[in-house]
Amino acid sequence: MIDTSELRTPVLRAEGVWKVYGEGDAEVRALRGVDLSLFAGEFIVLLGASGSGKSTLLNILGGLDVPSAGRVTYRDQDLTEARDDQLTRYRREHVGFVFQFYNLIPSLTARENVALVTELADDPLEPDEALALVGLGQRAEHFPSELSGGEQQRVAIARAVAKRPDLLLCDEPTGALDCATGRLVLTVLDRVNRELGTTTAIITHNAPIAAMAHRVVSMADGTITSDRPNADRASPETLRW
Amino acid sequence: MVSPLDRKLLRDLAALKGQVLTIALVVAFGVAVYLSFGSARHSLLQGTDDFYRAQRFSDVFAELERAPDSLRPRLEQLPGVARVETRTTATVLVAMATMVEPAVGRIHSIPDHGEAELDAPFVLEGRMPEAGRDDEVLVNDAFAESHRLHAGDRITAIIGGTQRALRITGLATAPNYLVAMSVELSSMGNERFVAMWMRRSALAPLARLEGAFNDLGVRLQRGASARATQDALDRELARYGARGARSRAEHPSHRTLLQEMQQLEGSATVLPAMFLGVAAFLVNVVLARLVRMQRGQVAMLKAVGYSDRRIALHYLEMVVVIVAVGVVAGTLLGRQMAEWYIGLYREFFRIPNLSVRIDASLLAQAAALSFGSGIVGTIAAVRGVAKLAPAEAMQPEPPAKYGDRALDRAATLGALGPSARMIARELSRRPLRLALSSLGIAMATAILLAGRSMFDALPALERLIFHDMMRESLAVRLTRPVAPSDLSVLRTIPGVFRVETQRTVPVRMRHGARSKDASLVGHPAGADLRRVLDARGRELRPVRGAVLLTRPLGTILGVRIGDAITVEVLEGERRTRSLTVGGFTDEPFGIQGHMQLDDLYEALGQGPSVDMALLVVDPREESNVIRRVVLMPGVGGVSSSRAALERFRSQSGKSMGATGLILVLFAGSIAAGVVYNNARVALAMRERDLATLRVLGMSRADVSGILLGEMAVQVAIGIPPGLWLGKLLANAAMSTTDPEMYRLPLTVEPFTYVYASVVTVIAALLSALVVRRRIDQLDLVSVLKTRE
Repeated sequence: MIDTSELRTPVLRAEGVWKVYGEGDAEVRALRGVDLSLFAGEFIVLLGASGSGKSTLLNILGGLDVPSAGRVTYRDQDLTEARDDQLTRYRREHVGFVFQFYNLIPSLTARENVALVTELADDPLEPDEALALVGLGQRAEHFPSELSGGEQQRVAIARAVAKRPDLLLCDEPTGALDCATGRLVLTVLDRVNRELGTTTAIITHNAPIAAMAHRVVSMADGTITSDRPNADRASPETLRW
Repeated sequence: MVSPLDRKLLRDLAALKGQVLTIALVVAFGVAVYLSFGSARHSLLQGTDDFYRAQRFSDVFAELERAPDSLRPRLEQLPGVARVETRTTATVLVAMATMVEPAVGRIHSIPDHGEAELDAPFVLEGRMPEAGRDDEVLVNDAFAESHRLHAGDRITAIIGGTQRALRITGLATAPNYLVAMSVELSSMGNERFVAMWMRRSALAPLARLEGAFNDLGVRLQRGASARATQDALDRELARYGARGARSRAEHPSHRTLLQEMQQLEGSATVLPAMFLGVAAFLVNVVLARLVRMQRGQVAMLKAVGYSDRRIALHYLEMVVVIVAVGVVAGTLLGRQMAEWYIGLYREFFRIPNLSVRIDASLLAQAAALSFGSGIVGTIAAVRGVAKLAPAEAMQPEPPAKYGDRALDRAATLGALGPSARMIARELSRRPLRLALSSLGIAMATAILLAGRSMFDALPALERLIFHDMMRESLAVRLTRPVAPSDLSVLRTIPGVFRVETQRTVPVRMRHGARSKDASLVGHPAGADLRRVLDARGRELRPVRGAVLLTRPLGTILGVRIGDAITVEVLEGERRTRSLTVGGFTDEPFGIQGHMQLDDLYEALGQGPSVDMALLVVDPREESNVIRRVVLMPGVGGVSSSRAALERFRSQSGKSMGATGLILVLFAGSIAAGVVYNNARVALAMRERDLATLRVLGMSRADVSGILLGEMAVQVAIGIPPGLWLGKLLANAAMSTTDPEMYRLPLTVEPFTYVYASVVTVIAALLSALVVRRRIDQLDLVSVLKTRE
């Protein structure tokens, strides 16, 4: 099989990215010269132990943070040189986030949480459409406190995909969930990737999840230790951990 | 469609309703005070202006012994004079069945036909007296109201020593009697002071002033100087026994009004500033906490593309809603308070059609100040929003750092229990908040102390006036000076133990370029019923050739003890004499000089004459003595010290009740606002800690103790400076009074310190109890499960 990454131009490219926190004795090198490209429509899993730098990398790719050194480009746009308002616009127009702890607004219903994002977008899905996509069409009127953890995470996914982002970045999306609920959430992410063609990156410390990816990138100590395509993709329903 | 952020706004506000309400209440009081005092002042100002114009209030006034009517054209030629009205006036005494002492006052002439040209009475009920009727009068409405008199009623009055049966044709108020009261404390009160108006041809024979006048009003030409006209009048009228012309600014009624308006202006500045300052602080506390609590939400909003500005605006909108609630409530309350205030004023200031007007500009100012303070309070929180990096904010907030401060590890803390140690560390962590919270508490205490200390002055004042200064049972004022021997008849009245006399003359005192009109009181040697005191309550006795001056008079003249002043007597031969300043006195009312009676006679260039008799009488015979004295010729008024004391007490009791309640509400709202909001914020930020402590086995009381202990420390720190601040505030309030009219000693009784502290503590305790209920209801399991 031909390595697809060689043939296509990347959507997002990180080159020689460093991230250093603190100074002197307290200096922490979270990223040490990372190179990574994300291609249109692919589903990648970033594997790594706690402290490997994967969240830092994801935050930088999503425009939530800026590297200490190196370059990040989205299509033709240099994100390292971008001003704060340009990063805000980048996030608003191109990136969807899914967080480990869902980060729903507790005082808004499921539909209203999704609407928070569709309000800002140019050509969004209807909030109900997005909720139906994650299988929560019936729960639109519920507040976060009335939803289970898995349901909350699916609302967060609906919120992330409702604006039809180019990139869907997920930070430990199953981290706070049990195995069965986690599989359900991964199934939804897989479906979004296939049906909407959204480039999706999941970071996790949970190795079995890698089996559903097009490509698996492993990290340790702030560097990428391996980057391999996964020819034999597993269906998320079959994953066990 | 309502945007999701606006929905969040409304639901967050609903969840914070206790805090929203307490802050809105503080704002509301600030707005209410601003509006009510402002509009009361505005209404007084407007009402007075309109009334002065309509009733043609004079610019300059003069009283004299007697001058022929033919003098008037000459007076009209004086510089600056546009119009002169010559009038007749006399002392009037009215015996009322309900009072031991007669009411005293003045009766004024109105022209035989039509209305007065100047200072025209405004008929509120009934009609003007008819020309040619010598028994018809108008009576001032304040007096009539307090005795339930109406048009058509009959009264008996003594005018110029003659008893007359009179018929009241109407009730009136006049620009020179907007504040209808005597300058004498002993005849204060609406029921004790009477003003009447009678047609001139009816009054003249009673006052023995046919073809003559003894009072005049002057309308000045536009731009003319009152002072120049006064001087010209004084020169022209000197030989007619004039006592020195007075400008409007020196008119007692007008002056009292002006002073009240100044006090309103002062209160309308200080109190709202305190309220809005506290509101800004509370907004800051609550919003800063909200933003911290919603770190995750803020970060998520940023992550999905909401700009800093939009999120900041979201929190600002929250404050706008809170302040708007306060402004609306404050406007309604302010209107109500203004009504109430104006109602109070109607009793003292007889301005017809005095109505509450809350104009748009005042409201706009109040709203602008309120929103301004709210926005100031929001700045820190909004900065927090901007500073929050979206990526960092996704992580739970790290535990606050402890251990890096001296106090955290201070050895002394070891001696404390774990709860006390937690309280000490938490408080030392936020010294600014502790300071501001305590300042809020201090303001509440200060308002209570300052408000109540106004009444503390009263017992001291009562002691000073009725015990130390006025020691007579009855004071008999004469309409004109008589030889002391003429008063010997008083000693023959059964029940009279002792008689002393005094003589008061109007004078103009000069020192260098400075001058001031005042009165000079002559005391006979060995007199003891009216005493002159210094600030420490020590009696001062004038020595021969020296004059004692009321301290503010000394200040006005710029003199020190031993300086010489020139005293020009404003009656009789108008002699001028130089006197040495022998000392300063501290009586609470008026400005005057005191000297020995013999010195006064010398200054006057006359033989002995007196115009006041002070009597010590058998209390059982007092009313009989009064009844006999009133009918004696030449008596212009009788006042009983006992009756004056009773009036003084009942007046102060009435205003104390209402004012006390308002102050408790004001201070309570501040104390409750500070304690409740701080406690709620502390609870919200530390719910997990407190729940953890409960899980570890601490009792509810222990856990409440930790949180409420912090509040207790804030209150304890706030109260002492509050007491000090209160004294400062009371001093400032005192300094807005007109020192030439009265000076109150600033005394703060020990009870008032206790009262201010206890009421603050109670307000704090009540709000703490509300929060304590929430601590008791902590759901341990769910608190520990939820991530911060």
